[in-house]
Amino acid sequence: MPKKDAAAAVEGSYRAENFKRRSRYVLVFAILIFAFITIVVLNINTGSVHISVADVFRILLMKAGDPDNVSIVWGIRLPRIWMAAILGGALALSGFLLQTFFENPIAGPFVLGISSGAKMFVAILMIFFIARFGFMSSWVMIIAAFGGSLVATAFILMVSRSVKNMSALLVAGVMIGYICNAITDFIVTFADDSDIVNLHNWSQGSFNGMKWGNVWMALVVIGVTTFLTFMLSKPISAFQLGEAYAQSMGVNVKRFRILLILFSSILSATVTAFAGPISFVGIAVPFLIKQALGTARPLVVIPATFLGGSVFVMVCDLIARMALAPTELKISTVTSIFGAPIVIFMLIRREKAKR
Amino acid sequence: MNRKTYKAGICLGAAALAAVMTFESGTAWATATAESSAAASSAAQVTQASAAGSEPASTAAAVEGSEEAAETSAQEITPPKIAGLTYDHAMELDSANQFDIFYYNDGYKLIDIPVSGEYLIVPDGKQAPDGLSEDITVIQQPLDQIYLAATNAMSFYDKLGCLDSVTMTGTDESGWSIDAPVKALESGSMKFAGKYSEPDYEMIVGNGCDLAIESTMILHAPEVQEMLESLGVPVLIDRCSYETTVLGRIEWVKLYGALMNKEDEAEKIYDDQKSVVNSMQDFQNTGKTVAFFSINSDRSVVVRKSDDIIPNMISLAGGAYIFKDLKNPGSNSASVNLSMEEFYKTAINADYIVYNGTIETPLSSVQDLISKDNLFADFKAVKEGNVWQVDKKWYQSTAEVGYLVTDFNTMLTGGDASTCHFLQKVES
Repeated sequence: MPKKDAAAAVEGSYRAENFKRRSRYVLVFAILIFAFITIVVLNINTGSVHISVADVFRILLMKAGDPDNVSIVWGIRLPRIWMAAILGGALALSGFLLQTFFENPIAGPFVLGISSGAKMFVAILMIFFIARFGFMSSWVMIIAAFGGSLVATAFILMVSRSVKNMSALLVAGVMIGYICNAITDFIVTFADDSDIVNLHNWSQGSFNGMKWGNVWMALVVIGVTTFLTFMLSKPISAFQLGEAYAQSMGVNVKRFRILLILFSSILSATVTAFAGPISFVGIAVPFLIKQALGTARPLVVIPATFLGGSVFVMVCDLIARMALAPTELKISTVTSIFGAPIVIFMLIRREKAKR
Repeated sequence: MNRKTYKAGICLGAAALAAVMTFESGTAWATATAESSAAASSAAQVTQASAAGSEPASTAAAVEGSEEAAETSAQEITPPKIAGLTYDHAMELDSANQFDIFYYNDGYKLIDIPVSGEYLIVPDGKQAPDGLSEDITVIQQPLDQIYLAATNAMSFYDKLGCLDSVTMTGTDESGWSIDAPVKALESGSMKFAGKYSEPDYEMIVGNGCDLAIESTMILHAPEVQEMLESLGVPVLIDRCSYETTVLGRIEWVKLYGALMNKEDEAEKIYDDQKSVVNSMQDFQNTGKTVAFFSINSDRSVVVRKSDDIIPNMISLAGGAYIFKDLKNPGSNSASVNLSMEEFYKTAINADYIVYNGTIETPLSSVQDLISKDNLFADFKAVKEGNVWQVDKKWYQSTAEVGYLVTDFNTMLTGGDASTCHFLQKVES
């Protein structure tokens, strides 16, 4: 029975391949979860003030111990760690969605001007609001950054109604970034030195001074958006195989594209609103995760990207706050310094493997 | 939601509208802002602005300006009612218009700083009264663990003999030009706890910080102030730099004296500097003109507004600031950026040019200045060897800032340059 043998051989090969693939997924997720737990523990236990592991456990479990140490762990370290985890994941996922939308691996919130839109609004606020009213709340800045990101996105969406070519749309996004930067520079012309210094500080991103109110707000916005994105896994999977294929599978491509860029923008806008622009994560992490998993399947890549983004940003944040303590490095400095060489290395290795 | 958050919330729409209006009407908005700022200013600012903006003010007029301001300020004082406390008296202020201090029974004091807020100083062993408004920040004495990020206040703490209470600073060793904090940082009695925008919260909380003193730069990083407050650290925002008179700025020593229960010492420090400044009343108007400037990294020339403290000091010393009516509409900044062309046409005939080395790197020689722009070689002051500079120490020596007036006078009258505190003649 040669036909049956051949079918059995194919099925066996498919099973082996499937097993190999699943094992790889399990291994990647296991590594990510292990790294996540390790970096959370390291972050909780590391800081300017030495708190013993036993005390940290007592503080975490019972909120008991030296009141200052309780404040340090619960009021400073934990909100910061969770914000780095939540926002890092959101940024990486945002990058993945934009790359899917534009079918281009370099698409990210930075490249498309979404961060520039946020910076423009924050500049307007810093320079005119403080000059006029003398003070402002951090929530006002958060709302401004969020609004700025969404305004930039709205422009990209408007252009997308006329421009169907993804490369051209990407270029349009870059141009919107330039326009936002030009407006920011124009506003800065009228700024005091203190405004310029503070705008520069903000535009480098930081997780310093995160509060529980920020954590809950970010958790709700990013949690809901991530869940909705995950629900889009199948249409994304179909879209990855081509627009025509997605249409044949019943995907309303026009609406799907709007949702994709909307979710991506909400994610990156939330990150920029709370922590300022953070460069590179949106490009590097999805790339590294897809390389590690050996697939671009959204069902696997979405959770892995989120987890990978969390781990990457938490590691970078630990370096940012401890490398030159008590002076803190800007988070974008660390993400770029550590992220860019990794991607270059991976690209070279992949090209060598192809040969 | 506290008062500030509420106000900020309702003002967001107004700010957005204002921003839009700016692009539509440009100068009109800027003028409106300038007008509203002027309206909010005290009598002292108006007096000084007009003094610096017209003919070179006589020394007496400049000093009188601050006295008039003091009278106006005294008339406007309305002590806040605090349930459970009995109002006693207000601190008499001579020149400062950016704060008021009210005294209540049992040693309670209330500091009121416009924009920054109200602060109730609670004496050691006492508690804040029940039902105290949430808008009033409580500062509990004793204050022996202070995080000081407002550099100009360090000089006051030094002069008051309270430097041991400042255990954390927002400026590291390399950023200090005055000796006291450098020595304290070297000895370890003071630690660098991160700059104002990125403080090391762990160190601040771990050291049991009683008070954070910030400059108005913190207003651009509201999340830092909110975080410190959420950790139980009261934040006092110093607005000393908004005083437009020499004595007004020095008088802030009284605020820090009240914080540290050293009112008498503060009074003496102020009186000493006042006598230095008042001694200038005898100076004759020399008729000499002075340009005070620096060159920044984009090669623009940074000069002071005509109603700033520096033109006021030059006037007190018997000189005249070369820019008669220079303003910076819509901005709180004391400085204005000019193109070289604009600076050149006005300052070329100045009798003296003084380089501001407090922020930019000081000049090593006159040639160093010319290398920044060859046009300087045409300046009258350069040709006549009248190039001076003020060093970084001045900016941080707030408690002795009055000596810059005597330095200017020494310069204008050809006195002994070696007696100057902050000014130095730039070698050819």
